[in-house]
Amino acid sequence: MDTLWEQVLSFFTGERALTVFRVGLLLLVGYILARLVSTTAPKLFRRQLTTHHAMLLRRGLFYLILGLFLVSALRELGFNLGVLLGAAGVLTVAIGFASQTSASNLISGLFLLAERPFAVGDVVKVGNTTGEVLSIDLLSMKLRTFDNLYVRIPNETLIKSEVTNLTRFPIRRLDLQLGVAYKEDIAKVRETLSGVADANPLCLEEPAPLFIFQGFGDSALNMQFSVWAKRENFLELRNTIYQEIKAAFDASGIEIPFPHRTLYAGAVTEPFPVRVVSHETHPPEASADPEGLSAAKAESPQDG
Amino acid sequence: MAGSDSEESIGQDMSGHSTAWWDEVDLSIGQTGCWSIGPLTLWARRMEHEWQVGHERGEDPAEDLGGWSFSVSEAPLAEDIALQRFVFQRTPGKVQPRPALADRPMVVRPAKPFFVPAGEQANVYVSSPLWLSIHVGAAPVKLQEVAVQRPSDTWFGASTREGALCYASRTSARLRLQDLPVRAYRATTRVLVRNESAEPMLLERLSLPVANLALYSTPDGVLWTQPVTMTREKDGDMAAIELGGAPPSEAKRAKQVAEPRQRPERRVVVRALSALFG
Repeated sequence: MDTLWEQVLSFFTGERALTVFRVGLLLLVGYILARLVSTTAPKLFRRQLTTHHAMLLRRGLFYLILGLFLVSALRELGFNLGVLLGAAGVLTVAIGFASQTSASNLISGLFLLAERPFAVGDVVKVGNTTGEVLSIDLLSMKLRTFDNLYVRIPNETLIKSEVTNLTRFPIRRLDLQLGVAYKEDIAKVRETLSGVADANPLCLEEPAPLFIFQGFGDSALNMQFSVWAKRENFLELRNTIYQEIKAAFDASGIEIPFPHRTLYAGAVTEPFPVRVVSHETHPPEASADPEGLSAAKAESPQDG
Repeated sequence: MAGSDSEESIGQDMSGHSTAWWDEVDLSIGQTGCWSIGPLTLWARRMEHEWQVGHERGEDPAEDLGGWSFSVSEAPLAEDIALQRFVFQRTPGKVQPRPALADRPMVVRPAKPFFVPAGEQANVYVSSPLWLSIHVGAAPVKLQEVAVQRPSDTWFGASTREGALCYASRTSARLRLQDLPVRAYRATTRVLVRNESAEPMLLERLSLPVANLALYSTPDGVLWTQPVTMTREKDGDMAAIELGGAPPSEAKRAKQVAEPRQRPERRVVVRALSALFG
């Protein structure tokens, strides 16, 4: 019992105890310093940094300083760092092979940080997913879609695929694809559309609305009418302007045609047989007879 | 429509104490005040614990609706009016629709673009639509803001990436004040355009920072802002904008009726030419 006591006593009074104390002190000072530097540094550069970069700087500084102190502590304890680093090198290769995907995501994340194609709060479209960016982390980006789902997209996917940032610029263009009947006067249609754009306060006066005649379609004259809106008003404009165009077309008698189908019986000269059906004498189920149907279709306008 | 069966009417024609639509009005509980200013009809109804504010805007902006009227009725607001309610412990009786200018710059074009030759200057008269900001109480509390005429949005800048969102004025800038129709719901600004560069300057449009301008009223109720001077500087790429400190000489005996929305930091600001003249 005495010898154990002596051993404990000699440990605490001897050289070794002093070393352990020094190591403890080093780690404590390191931790405090790391905390202090990592919280103050991002505050100093608050203006230059985005919230995300500030967070990254905070973490980086914290682990760097803590790491340096940990290394000094290990040296103090008598570890040979060369051997330790060598072992770490071998271990890194092994881990690298085992975690290729994570490493690839990590590197992609660093590239994304440098490139900054979007920031937290932007609305982006990746593949078929559109949503608001919640966070950009080292391995993945988190999105909140508009139907309130949480989507995690690996950074590697972001680097490889096309990403559309919908909120980068303050104004957006809405392309309306329209078709009017062949009998309509294009100049009148254009005038009507300009009138609609002019009357809608959400539609920007400048850049001026764009009118593009797309060509002669199967059943309609195809045209594109492009209007600009403030980014925030984009959806509202899309909802209102279609209604207004329909109302304006109706008011000025411009026809929006249905797809036309011309049936050809096989011989150029022979017309379809048309039979006049009287409602009083005919049972209701007979109205779906193929002959009657074809007769009705053959009468459809064939402006094309 | 509420307010149609009016009991009392104060207007431009009435010889009395009130000649402006922004004068303070006292309403007792259960009364509805109805202001008709240009295309806008605004109702404010006082109840025991709440103020109800509703408005309706005429469809055709081209209609010549220059005048204004005010009436008081006991009738409640019509069902089809979208109204906003403001709840108070005890509603104050005083209500005032104060005039205010737009919160974004106003883009104005002359009817046809013109050149200002080198070393020349021109006075241009511009009219900007107003907003009504409804205040109640002795220490006025702002309830709501309504545009008399909602101007169209427009983009003013060198590209679609850089620039500012503005309002487009429906009326054009005039060289003669007489050509500018006087409307109760628009404020006139005299803009002096000076070209100090060596080349002629084409004036197609200009961006007027109305948010920095104060409103003044002449005794007959015509609204003005202080004059603005826009100068294209010698080197040609920069332009200075200077805001006057007092109403222009055209607005005789004018008194200030509204503060600017944003106090300008400096009276003279130098900006890129494209930021003022597009």
